[in-house]
Amino acid sequence: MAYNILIVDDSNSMRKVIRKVLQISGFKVGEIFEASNGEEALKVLNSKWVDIILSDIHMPVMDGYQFLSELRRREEFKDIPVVLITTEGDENKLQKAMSMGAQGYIRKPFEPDQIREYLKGIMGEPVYAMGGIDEGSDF
Amino acid sequence: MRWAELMKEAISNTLEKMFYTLVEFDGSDEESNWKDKKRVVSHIKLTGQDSMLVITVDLLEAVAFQIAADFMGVVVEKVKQEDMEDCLKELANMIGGYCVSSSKGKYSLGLPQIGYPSETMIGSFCWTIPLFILGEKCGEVTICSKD
Amino acid sequence: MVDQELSDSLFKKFSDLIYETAGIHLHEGKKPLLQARLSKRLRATGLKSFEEYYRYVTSSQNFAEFINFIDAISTNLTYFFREEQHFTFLEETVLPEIVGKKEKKGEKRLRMWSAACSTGEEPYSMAMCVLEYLEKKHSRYSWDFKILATDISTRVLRVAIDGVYSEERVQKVPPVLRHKYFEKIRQNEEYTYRVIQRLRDIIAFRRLNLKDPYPFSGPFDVIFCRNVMIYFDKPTQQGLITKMSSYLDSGGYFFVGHSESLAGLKHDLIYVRPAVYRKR
Repeated sequence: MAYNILIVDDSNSMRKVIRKVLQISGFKVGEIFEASNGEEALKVLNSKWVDIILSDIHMPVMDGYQFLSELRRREEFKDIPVVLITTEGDENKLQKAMSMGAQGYIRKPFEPDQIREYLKGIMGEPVYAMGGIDEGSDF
Repeated sequence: MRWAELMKEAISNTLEKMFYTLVEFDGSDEESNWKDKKRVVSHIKLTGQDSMLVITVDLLEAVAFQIAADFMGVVVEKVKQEDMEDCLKELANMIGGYCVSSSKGKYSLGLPQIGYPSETMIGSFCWTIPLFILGEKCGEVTICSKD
Repeated sequence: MVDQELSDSLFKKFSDLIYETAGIHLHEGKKPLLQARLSKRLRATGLKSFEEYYRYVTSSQNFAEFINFIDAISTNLTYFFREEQHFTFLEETVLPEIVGKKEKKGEKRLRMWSAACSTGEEPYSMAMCVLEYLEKKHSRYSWDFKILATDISTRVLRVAIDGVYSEERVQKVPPVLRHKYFEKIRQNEEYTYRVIQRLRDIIAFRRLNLKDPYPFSGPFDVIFCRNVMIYFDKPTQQGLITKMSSYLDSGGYFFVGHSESLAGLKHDLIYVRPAVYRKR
């Protein structure tokens, strides 16, 4: 199956960087959606099917903690894995986010390999398909 | 001087890992030129129990455009003003995150902003770290602490 | 730790390596810069001397470390239709042969691999070359044509995937092709050139260390593996040529850089002309 991914980050350029890392990693990525805060992310979730959420913590309007608690409150979203990609350097706060249901975290600045390695655990070994849409590989 | 060392580590780590840019912390002292060129500034506040840190990143505009291009993987001609500012904020953000982590959670991270911090936030203790690329001054990072 | 002095001879060795790898000239004046950078890498890797670091990065196991080092200096320099003779040969000899053979057999699948694609100029050039050939042939055949473009550096791939180049970078593209396969985008006072969607759709850019297992099955009709082997020692080159050629279809072509050859390596490829080999 191809995974639909939602990237939540208030930095437009950071979203673009994460999107590119996903694309060149060869994961079976279906659609990639973007949102600039938790509130926008919930809007996307209401209208699109999302398999994995990659979210920042520090964002205006609705931050990562509020977003996580909102997700866990909603029956239809509570099982979507959330991986935090964040500048948060406070170990206690990261643990708090984990206890709120985040599956894991990647600290910024990150090496692209860190994202790739982490996502292998969720999405399996990359397959080199065009656009990642079909089951098999194009090559 | 612990902060200065920590900041250097934070700056070079962030710039190398995410912006593919190498900076040095010493180089030519002729700064007059630098001050006259067009620059862009971002800052981030770190608030603690009874103190506050402000980190200000001040870069030559041309350098800011270049690191934005390297960050996003695009040609520099394609970088818009807003992308460049966005990257400069991310830079301050990541340097700030590094400091939070090193202070063992003594401070919590605010949201990065474009421009200088407002007057009242400037504390009495400030360190300025000059940045050089290939020996030429390209900017500086200032950290101020206020009780 | 007191920083060591980088000797002139070692500076020369490093700057040669950087020139070969990235096409960047570091003149004498850049010695302090290189020394500062190397000292930093010594601390990061725990190695004791510049000499030791040189041996470390030039050994094939640690190529990734050198890529990080190079990446931090500048984006790899490359250009469209680099080593033009390869593209002429592709158009005049390789494509007529392979395309003709496939048409006879009723096959539509055409696959190429750009093994170290850097910022994308090579695979985009390959794609333009093939599309032009198929068009000139007036074939009504609908080809399933795709290029896999891989590189070890995420940094260069991020540029490649967008396919946007500065005016200077597209200078080498013949004007006819530039008009046909690029859109000129004006931003502020500057122009950039973006590869058109149809061309981008042909290519999949993926990060790959050539020494890792390959997450695809092939076979490829053409492999471009130019200016890659020079970075590896003989045993690694041997491993790579054995592995990569096993992904080549029989009758498929293997291109190396003009300054390279497969001399001294065991392989089942037939020498066709300088820097070009063919599988039996």
